Amino acid sequence: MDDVLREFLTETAESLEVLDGELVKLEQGPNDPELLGNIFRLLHTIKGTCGFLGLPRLESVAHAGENILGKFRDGELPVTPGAVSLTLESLDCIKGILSALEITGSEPAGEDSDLIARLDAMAEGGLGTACEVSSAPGAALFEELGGLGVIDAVVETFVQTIVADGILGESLSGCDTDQLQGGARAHLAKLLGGPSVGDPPRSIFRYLASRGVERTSRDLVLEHFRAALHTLEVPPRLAARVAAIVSADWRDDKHADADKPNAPALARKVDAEQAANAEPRDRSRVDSQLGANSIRVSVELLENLMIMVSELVLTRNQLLRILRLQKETSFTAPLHRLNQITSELQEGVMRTRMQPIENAWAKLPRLVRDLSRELGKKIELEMIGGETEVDRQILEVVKDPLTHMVRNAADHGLESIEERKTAGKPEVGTIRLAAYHEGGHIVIAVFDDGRGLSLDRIKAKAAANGLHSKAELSNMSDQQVMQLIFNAGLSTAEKITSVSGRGVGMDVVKTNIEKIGGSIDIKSAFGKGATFTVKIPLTLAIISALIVETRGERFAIPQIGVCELVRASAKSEHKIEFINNAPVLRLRNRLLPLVSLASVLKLEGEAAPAGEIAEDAFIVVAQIGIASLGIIVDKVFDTEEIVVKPVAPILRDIQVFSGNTILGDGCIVMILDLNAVANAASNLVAADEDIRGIECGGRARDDRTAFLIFKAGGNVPKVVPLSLVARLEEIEAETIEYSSGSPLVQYRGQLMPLIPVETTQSLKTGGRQSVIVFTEKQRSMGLMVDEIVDIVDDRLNVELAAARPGLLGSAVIDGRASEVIDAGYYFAKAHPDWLASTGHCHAARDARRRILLIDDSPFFRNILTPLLSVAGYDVTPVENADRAFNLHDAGEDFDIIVSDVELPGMSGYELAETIKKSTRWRDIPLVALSSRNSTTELRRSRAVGFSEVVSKADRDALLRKISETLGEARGAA
Amino acid sequence: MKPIGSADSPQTAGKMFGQGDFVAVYVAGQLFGIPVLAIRDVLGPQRVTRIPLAPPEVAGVLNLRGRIVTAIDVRQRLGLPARAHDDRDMSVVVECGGELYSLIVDSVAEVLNLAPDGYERNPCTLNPRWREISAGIYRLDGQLMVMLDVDNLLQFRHTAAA
Repeated sequence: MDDVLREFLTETAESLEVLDGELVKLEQGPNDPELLGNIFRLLHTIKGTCGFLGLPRLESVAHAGENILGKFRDGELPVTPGAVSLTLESLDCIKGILSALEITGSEPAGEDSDLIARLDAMAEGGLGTACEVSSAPGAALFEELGGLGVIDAVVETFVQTIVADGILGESLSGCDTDQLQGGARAHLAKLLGGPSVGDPPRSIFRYLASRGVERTSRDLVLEHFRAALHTLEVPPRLAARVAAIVSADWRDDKHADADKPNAPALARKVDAEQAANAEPRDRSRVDSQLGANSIRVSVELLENLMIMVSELVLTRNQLLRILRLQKETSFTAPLHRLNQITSELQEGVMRTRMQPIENAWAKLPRLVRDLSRELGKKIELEMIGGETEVDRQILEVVKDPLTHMVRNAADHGLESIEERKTAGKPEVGTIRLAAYHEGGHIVIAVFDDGRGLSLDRIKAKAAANGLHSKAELSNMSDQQVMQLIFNAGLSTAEKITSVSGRGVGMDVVKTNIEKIGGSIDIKSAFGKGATFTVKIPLTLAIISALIVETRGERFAIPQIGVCELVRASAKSEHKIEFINNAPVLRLRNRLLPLVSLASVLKLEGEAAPAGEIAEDAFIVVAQIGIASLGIIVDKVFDTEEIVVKPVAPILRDIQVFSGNTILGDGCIVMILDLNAVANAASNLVAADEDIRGIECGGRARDDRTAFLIFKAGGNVPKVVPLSLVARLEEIEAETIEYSSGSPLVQYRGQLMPLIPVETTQSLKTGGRQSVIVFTEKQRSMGLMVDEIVDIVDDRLNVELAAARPGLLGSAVIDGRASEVIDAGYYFAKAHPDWLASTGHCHAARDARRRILLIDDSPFFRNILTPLLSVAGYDVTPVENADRAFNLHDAGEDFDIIVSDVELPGMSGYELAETIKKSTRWRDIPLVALSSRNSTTELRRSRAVGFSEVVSKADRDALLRKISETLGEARGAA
Repeated sequence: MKPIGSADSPQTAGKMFGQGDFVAVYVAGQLFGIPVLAIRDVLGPQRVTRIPLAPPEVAGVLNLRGRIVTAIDVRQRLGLPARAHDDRDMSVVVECGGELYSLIVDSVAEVLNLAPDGYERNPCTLNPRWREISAGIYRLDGQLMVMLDVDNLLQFRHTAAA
């Protein structure tokens, strides 16, 4: 293909993109001669070039299209949606021919006579005009606003406020405000599609610019304009549309300015600067005299330049590193200079890659227009912050996801006109795109004022697809449910339209965004609309990263995800603690889950993660989605600017690495992907549990539980399972108040009763009182203790039954005889209505149904038996499978069997299998009690016949599951 | 041996069984032939960065004049025992699909120009893992040389998963 043709293709493609947008704009403001002129010129150029290059087919289509535009311009043909559609169709045809031209180098064979005939017919005024009587939306806007009277008032108020404004008023001093008002009124009327009025139209914005008001004050001026609309009580939605049109008009003003011979030098200078910064596409819109200031450079060349700069940055890093090791050398000064120049060069080259995000949006007005016709909805697209610049590479990646999100918003988000009317919303739905900078990121928000996400539909869909069980879904927070739409194959549109539901879903959007280190977030209000917020880095090529070391290997962590660094040591206030071997850190009153990088990466010595973590370690606190995670590393070096290089294809399967890089010392380090590390960390826990589960099956079971040891009223240590404890607090004795003789304290906006463990226990009158906080269903209770001693892991084996209420019994914990506290007893004491409230709803329905409870732990039997009894069940507790079968043989019958899965002798699984084989108990529903909650266990339990699996610690879930299961069994019977 | 400038991909070079120039290398006493056209560089011992979670065949990555090269432990790939620690190993850098890979071998012997008449197909008794990476056998005086199929050598995702 020769250069001329290639040049023609790029230029025409650009022009066509502009044309798409301009035509849509024309439809809204049909009587703008400047806009029409511009459109006409663009198509005319295309036609001319085609003739010159000998492309007859293209030329004929372009010619027919140009005919229509000519009629538009001369006012012979009204601008109707039908005519615009036809013109757009001709553009599509041109695009099709162009793409074939690009591949083959010659025009494809074919005929466009049908299209041309229709275009010609339209140009003759024959076709379509009769049936397209509806006026263009722009004209409607003029009417909607209330005609010339309102416009007059708006302009008057507007001009007055500007004159009153200190800064702006100054530049207007001495001018004829009446004349200004007249021109502005005519201009605005024209802009909104109204008839032309007396004075020659003159944009007040342009006038301001000619008076030396800088573009930076534009927002201020627009603000005044909006205020004027507001003062005159223009409905907000209408006001927004008018403001958007005016704002767009002023933005487009820059090339119009250059046309005006009397435009002062200042305005031209501003435009020239803009043109120089603008990417090549803009060139066609800029006057030719400015064209000389910019040149067209192939992307490939820029990419190469960027790679070279990347290498230069690496070399610079290397030199700086050497410099740091040397004390005094004559290289110091030149190297610092080199450093500075490299940084500037890097910045400059990066800027050449920057493009306004508008470029990714260029196709959207057309898309939305087509969609609104196809779907029969009225949609208005607002775009804010299009001038925000992003790296070209990122722009490419976000283009498709953005298009998809806008399409989704139009299709799924916005309701049909009837629905909107019923809901009391304006007929026209709004989709708003906004882009802005935020802390080294670009944020792009896609908002629609439609129906919002339907949580119920998402849940139903997720349940139908087997993604989650109903029970799991009911436990999810709204935010978690919304996140489900990012799962593959979860489209909530009820019918698959041609618009969306093509199998490309939000999962692809999320993957694409995350691939470039971005994140996506949803906010939704049912019936009000939804906002998708995409946060992406400014650039991909060079990032700032924290270099860390673990087990002698170094890794880079992108600085973007790092919130802070914490040094943990046994002596300092930040100490790594363990809950059942899971490391955690107390950080500013929050519990931060930790994961050791060594165990995520399976570096040697991770067999015993709990003990292996060094006492002195660094914790990199990372923000992952809405959660925080602490990553334990051995050492932290400094941050370094690194050049991200993709990993070899062989290694691409390793999710935790997003790339690799060469450090200043020439070493290669892998770059960690924090999202993947978090995923790996949660898998690690699951895997860990599976292994332990197998181990437990193999040998005598070893149910170690974490206990909190404390002292209260006496020297005998008391213990309570840590899983029941919500928090440990120290309360100033002065803050304790009394209500009807009982101590209580204001705690987190609630009154929390304080209960002494022993009645003889003396209360502190000064200093601090240690309190163990228990919570249940938003109620809290503080158990006052003398001293918190320790947290230990031990087996619970209650050897002596309790002699008095409040104690479950005595057990040997950590080598000492200790009293096991019955937290439930104290809770009931603090909130006398507690057990009743948890139980009554279940009890009423399932009056005196019989439960067989099999659990070898006396602790749990002691906790669950009263709980279930109070809830209205008749409970028979036994400690092992043999006892259970004794009852079977004795002819006992039950409505439900609740069993621990890990039992001495015959395990819960075998028990279930045996029960399912028996004749009499076969149909009794089985509920498994588990201390863990892994999917493997869930699957295994289901396989042997348990209908439900409940966590031991979750009493509510247990009651609910029992009640549900019984309900189902009855329903089935 | 310096980089041999040729744009031919190893794909075509590797399939020209039994003729042309080959670099003979030793791995665990066995002679292997690598098509010269596939080779970009031959290096001495290198500082290799280990990669956690990588397939066992991947010894790590190394920095070759600013390019990141994946190092493949050929012994591991062939299911052979690891080399004694103090031995000096050699790396043969090959290009495959636009990426550079460094094949860690015991030693590099010589460049051989082979005529097609010494070429034999893989004997059917050959271990499947070897058969996968061998494009055939060449009869030299006194010993046999396995022709390495570089493309297949670098395809081991499935074995890693197993």
